[in-house]
Amino acid sequence: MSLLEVKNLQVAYGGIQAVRGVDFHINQGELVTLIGANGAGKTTTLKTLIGMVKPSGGSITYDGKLNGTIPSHDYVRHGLVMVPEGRGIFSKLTVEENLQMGAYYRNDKAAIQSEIERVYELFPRLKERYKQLAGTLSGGEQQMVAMGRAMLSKPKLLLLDEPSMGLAPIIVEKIFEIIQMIAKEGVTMLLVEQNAKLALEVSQRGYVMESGRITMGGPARELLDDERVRNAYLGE
Amino acid sequence: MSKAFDSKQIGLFIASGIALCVLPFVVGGALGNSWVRIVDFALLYVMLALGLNIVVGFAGLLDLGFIAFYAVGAYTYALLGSPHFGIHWPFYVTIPLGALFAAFFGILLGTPVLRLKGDYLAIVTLGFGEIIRIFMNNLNAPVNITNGPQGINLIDPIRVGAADLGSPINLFGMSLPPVYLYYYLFLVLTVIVVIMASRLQHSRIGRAWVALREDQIAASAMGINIRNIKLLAFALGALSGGVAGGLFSAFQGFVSPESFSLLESIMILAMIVLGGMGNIAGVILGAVVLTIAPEILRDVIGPLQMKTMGRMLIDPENARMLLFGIAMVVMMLVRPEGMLPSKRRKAEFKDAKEAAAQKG
Repeated sequence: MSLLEVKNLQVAYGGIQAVRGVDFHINQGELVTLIGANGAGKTTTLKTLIGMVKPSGGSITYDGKLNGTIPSHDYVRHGLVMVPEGRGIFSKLTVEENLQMGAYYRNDKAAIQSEIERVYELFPRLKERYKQLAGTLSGGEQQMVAMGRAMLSKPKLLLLDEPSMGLAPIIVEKIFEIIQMIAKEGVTMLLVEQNAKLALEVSQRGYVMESGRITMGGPARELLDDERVRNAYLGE
Repeated sequence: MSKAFDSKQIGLFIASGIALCVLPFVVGGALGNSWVRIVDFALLYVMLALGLNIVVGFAGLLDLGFIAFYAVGAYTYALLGSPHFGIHWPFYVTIPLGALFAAFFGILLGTPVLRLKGDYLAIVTLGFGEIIRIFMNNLNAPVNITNGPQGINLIDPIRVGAADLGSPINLFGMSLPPVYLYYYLFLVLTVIVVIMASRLQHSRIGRAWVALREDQIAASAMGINIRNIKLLAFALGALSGGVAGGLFSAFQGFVSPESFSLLESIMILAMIVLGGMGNIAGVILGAVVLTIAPEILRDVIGPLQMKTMGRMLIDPENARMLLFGIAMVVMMLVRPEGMLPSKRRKAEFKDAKEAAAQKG
């Protein structure tokens, strides 16, 4: 059975339909990508998954449970974690405090501390700056904080919204290395990206979203080779 | 994380401890006992300002009716320890009870304003403060509960065993007047409030408040229950306000609704803003300065006018408010982040300045 099952999801902001009946699923351990142009409804779909936006129709089943029955601050306790677009870190907290915020719902102090150390091993830059206010970091470092913080939430399903946005190409590569590393540890991931090529290269499966609908879906390799995808999203 | 203190810090700590212990004797010897009384009030305001700082400085919820919690604490003590009802419960029951009542009122205020922010929140809290005061003013009919504008008189002083803080105590051949005795009591409680506030600030809850101030949605995604964490800020802030209120009641021996006006709420807020919002040392400094400075001005303005101009040109009371207002304006122009700002607050002001510079 899949970890996440979305059926005929519809979301409307006022009278405007942002998501018009979307179906997709994510299996345990998979890395799935959702690509699409601006305004296709990708971010809205993600926000709906973690309860920040209420759907107007359809159903979301996560881990066998129907979403919409738990308050939004409890999603993280069920392992559903999102790294939002624009990173959503707390700029007035230090790097270390940001990481601790990720573990806010947990009580196992010793484990938290050792996991923070592990994040520092992954991102030595953050260790150098652990006492600095996160708002004073560069964009790439902030993305590292956001990913590290998400890892401390012990996600079962990690939702990444445009992690490469606004970053230098060399940092983007680093971020994608980290994404693959997290995937290797068995974390299931849904990656939303405009950088379709990189995203599809690291994913097992992908979906293409256009004006509120999913128009294509399949193994990432096939999408990469697909004529329409190449024309529309890979700029070839 | 535990921090080890180096020997320099320990030395400073002990030195300031000794200084605080001998302070009333120095002040009383040099300036007279009325100044020890002012120092006592400074300690009460430190407690109040630290309480409000939890709500405004830590959680970022602007509260203009904070004095209401002071009033609740004061009236709880007064009603349960005075001839008004003929009840004379000991302070170790009435002060905690007053604090709990205040916390309850904090939650009562917090619940309807959960969705409000900024200006709207300020207006509702302001209204709440006034409602409490007006209740105190009018609850003398049909059943006389608060004795209305006349207030409650002959409130019991604090009694510890056989010792009565309301009358002088002879110790080692010295006669210690009540203002000295209350000083030490207030000092102990102030230290407790300071410890509570600083523990909170660096705790998981303290971080949650900062997160809440910055981004409610992201905070909620971290698993923070926004409702509970906001109510907790209101309750904990009100708690120390309530303690200060009970002490005020015992110290003065008299309470009336007049003591809990809007101006008092504003003064406490001014202490926080002037001192450095969110930073405990700054808040303490702000409270002390704003309690002591007007009293110094009171002693200086009148005689100064007599000396230079031969007569009273401006009423000292008015001149005091004028100077005070000018000082506030100058402060906001020169150092808007306060005298001793916290690291975060400094960063906020820097961000705002840079944003303004970019706009041109």
